[in-house]
Amino acid sequence: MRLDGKVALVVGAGSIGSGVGNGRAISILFAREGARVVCADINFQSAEETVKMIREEGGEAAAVQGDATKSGDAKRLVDFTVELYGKLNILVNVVGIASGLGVLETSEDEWDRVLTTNLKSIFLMSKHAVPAMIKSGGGAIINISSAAAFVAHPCLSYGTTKAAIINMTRCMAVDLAKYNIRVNCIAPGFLDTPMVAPIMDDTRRAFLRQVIPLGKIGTAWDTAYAALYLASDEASYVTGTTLIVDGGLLAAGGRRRGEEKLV
Amino acid sequence: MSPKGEEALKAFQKFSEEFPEDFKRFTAFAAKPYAFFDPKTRELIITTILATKGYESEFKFHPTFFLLGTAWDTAYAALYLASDEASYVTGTTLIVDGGLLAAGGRRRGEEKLV
Ligand SMILES: NC(=O)c1ccc[n+]([C@@H]2O[C@H](COP(=O)([O-])OP(=O)(O)OC[C@H]3O[C@@H](n4cnc5c(N)ncnc54)[C@H](O)[C@@H]3O)[C@@H](O)[C@H]2O)c1
Repeated sequence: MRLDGKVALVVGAGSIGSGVGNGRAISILFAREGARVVCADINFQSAEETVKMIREEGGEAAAVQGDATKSGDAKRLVDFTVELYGKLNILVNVVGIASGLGVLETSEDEWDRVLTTNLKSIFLMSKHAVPAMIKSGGGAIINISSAAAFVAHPCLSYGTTKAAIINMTRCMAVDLAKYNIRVNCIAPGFLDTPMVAPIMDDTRRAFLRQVIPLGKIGTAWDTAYAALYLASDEASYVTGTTLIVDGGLLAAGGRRRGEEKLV
Repeated sequence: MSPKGEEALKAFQKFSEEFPEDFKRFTAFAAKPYAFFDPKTRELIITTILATKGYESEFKFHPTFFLLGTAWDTAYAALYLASDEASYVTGTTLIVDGGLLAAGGRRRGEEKLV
């Protein structure tokens, strides 16, 4: 198995609704590939649901509650992992909240909330996880950005954080390389996950199938497989980079499926 | 092991004595990724190091792992992109460079660029 003997901490391992979000898919897939997985989430029930799904398949996982934007909690999540499984090899920062507002509509509170949740969580989790990873002989950190990092999707604060995550990834990769810690990022495009369920209906799905070159909407499993590659030793020469998983959306630059030319 | 492999191994051992710290990191890091290959592949890694003999000081300051990549790193990236695991991935570039581009000229161990 591709993650045999590894210990992973997935932060944001629950899912905002029933169904499979990115953190849940990543946790399940990592366990399938032999990792022991700590599923951390601010919503304990949701993390427990992920663990239940892993155990049903015969995998090894444990749930823990914690708010990744609080330094004390971030440290506790790492300590929990090391006490339970003896080390830490992989950290996946999945925590993120969406906000679909522009500059005029975004309140100061909203701005702070989105920046804190999406950015500070990565900073704090990494800060506390790295010493444990160094003791474990190195490791891999994976951050989740979004296709919204590259273009002006109508979401000011969200897009800002997702673009920032790409450079946080580079900075941490270069800082931590000397400890054999790789840091990479995944930028998913549109996915059919519980997070976007409120804004997904058949009209929107039909529209998306037109603008996504592969003609389909991805799922959390697409993110999870990218994470599996980046977390595994197969990617041992890969660090500081962002892997786009968007069905070709960004490459198309607005050109629709079947359209020969843009204008 | 072939004579070439043995010669490479000797050079590798000498190298490990000269740079004990980096060697420890190298083994901690490299032993795992390549352990599931046959001995032939192990020779390939050693040969990579032999081929860069004389550049040890450069190695020490390589932006990331001091270890150069091998063709297997490309192969694993290709395997991922070719498989159904990447069925939502198209039109993108997967960089496999040990962090070289991200470092933007900053050397390994260097706190600041200027
Ligand atoms: N779903 C998509 O279409 C999509 C596309 C691109 C990027 N993303 C990114 O993927 C990530 C996860 O998305 P998802 O769809 O799986 O979302 P999700 O809301 O289902 O999962 C995120 C989990 O994080 C938890 N969480 C939130 N704040 C937390 C905190 N402070 N501390 C600990 N846990 C916290 C939530 O309880 C939830 O279980 C996000 O960063 C999101 O921006 C999602």
